[in-house]
Amino acid sequence: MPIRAREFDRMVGKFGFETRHGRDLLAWLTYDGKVVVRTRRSKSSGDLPMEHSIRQQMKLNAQEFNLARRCTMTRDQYIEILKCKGVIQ
Amino acid sequence: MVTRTLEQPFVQSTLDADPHDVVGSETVYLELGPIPESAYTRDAMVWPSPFLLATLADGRFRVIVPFDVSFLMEGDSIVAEATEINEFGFGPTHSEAVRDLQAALVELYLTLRDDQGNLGPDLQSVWEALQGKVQIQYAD
Repeated sequence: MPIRAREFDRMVGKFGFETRHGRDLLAWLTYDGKVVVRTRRSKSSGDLPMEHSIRQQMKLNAQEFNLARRCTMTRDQYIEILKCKGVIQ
Repeated sequence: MVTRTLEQPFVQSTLDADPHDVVGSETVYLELGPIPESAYTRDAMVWPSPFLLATLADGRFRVIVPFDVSFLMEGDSIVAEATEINEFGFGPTHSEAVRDLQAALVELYLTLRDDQGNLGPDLQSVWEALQGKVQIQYAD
């Protein structure tokens, strides 16, 4: 199921990503002064055809991503996942 | 590899381009096969997956090691993914997906360059992989 732009924005906002409007909407997560995750979405407002790629860039498996997009995952849980996967040391 | 023949005109291949191939006044010829008919027909027919992307279509950059790119279908869109770099582009056609990917790779390079020294381990490895594949030729 494609992710909607609004879902993406809510998800990265909840996890504390910073965003910048360039050619696309760029989003990155800083932790302890380091940029640890980076992703982006197109500026279209509807369904985004990049769910698989966004999920990979956010370092989540399909189950985790579903929780994240439904906003049932907290920032702390997301950080813990990143630590477990070695994305945050 | 560059094959030298006298039958074909010189074509600068982005995959094989090496400035050291042209020495003095020697002319380098590439051996080219016939262009398949499919190259003139539907977009989808001319894009193998995976394929090698050897240009970012931006004069500031030179690709020295091509990117492995795979295509995925998501709904009505095509996603072009540079798997080693974990970057992607998308569009209604393969061509547009590749153009979007090229622009995304340029943006990624410039962003990581600005943040270098401040990257987590995963993005640091992406930055190192990018540096191994792309040379910047001109400053902004």
